[in-house]
Amino acid sequence: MKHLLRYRGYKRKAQASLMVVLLIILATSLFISMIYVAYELTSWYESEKQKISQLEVERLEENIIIEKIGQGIGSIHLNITNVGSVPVLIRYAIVVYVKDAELVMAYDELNVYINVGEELYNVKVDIPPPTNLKYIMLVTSRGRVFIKVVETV
Amino acid sequence: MKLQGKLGLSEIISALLLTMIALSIFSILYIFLSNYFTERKSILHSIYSSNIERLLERVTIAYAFYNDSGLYLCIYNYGYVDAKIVLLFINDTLVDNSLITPLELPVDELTIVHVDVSLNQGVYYIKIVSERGNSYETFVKV
Repeated sequence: MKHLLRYRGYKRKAQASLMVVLLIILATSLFISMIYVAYELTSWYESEKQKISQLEVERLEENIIIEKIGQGIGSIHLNITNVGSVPVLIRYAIVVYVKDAELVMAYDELNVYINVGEELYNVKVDIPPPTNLKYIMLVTSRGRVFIKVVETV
Repeated sequence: MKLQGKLGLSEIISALLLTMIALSIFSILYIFLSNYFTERKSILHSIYSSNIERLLERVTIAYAFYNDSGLYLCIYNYGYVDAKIVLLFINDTLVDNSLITPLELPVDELTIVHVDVSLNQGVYYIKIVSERGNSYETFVKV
């Protein structure tokens, strides 16, 4: 009888230990999952932040000069030099002019790629040259705007 | 001998019962915690996702001008996500959204936003607020 009671006691202890072990496994797995999810989300955020920081740095390094504006038949021609430290993709050209005493604008999609230090001659903007041209603006893929004032308003 | 046999049987039943009860409690606890964790994870994911989208939204007002037909804003979206104008202020006065067309600013596109307002001569401070809470400002001389 004494042995039987001692055996019962050990068995209860073993069962309790098993339950404790299961609970510890559950708690540990949840804790590890939480850590992993937090790490995964933080890494995601950091990589996107890095991507945007890189874009903003490159954006600041962009610098192009519109050197000459020529007026052709049905189009405007530009000479552009990249004096910045990154290659630039010129996405749009915006032309602002005066028509009937009012400011009017027109734009053309350019998609012209210009390397560092490169000079491009006669870049064609498919906008008929207006008589009272005021500004020409070039918008780059990184959101920078470079302006050439043709005539002071 | 008879007593010992009964004791052995009840011993097995009690052990089985205890194990079953413990496993049931463990399973309920596991399901509850698992659901709770999944829910929290999706909330956390959506918070991060909206923060990242806000970070990836980049818009620049390339040029703004005014003529008799209204105010024009040349807006270029150089970010990674489409943007949408939800608020537009002229000198801190909110403009009704029905006067602004279009409101959507697609990625990598120049959008000419027309604001149907009439302004007197002067310099105006224009501010647009996107649906993600970013704001972009410029000045326009009339």
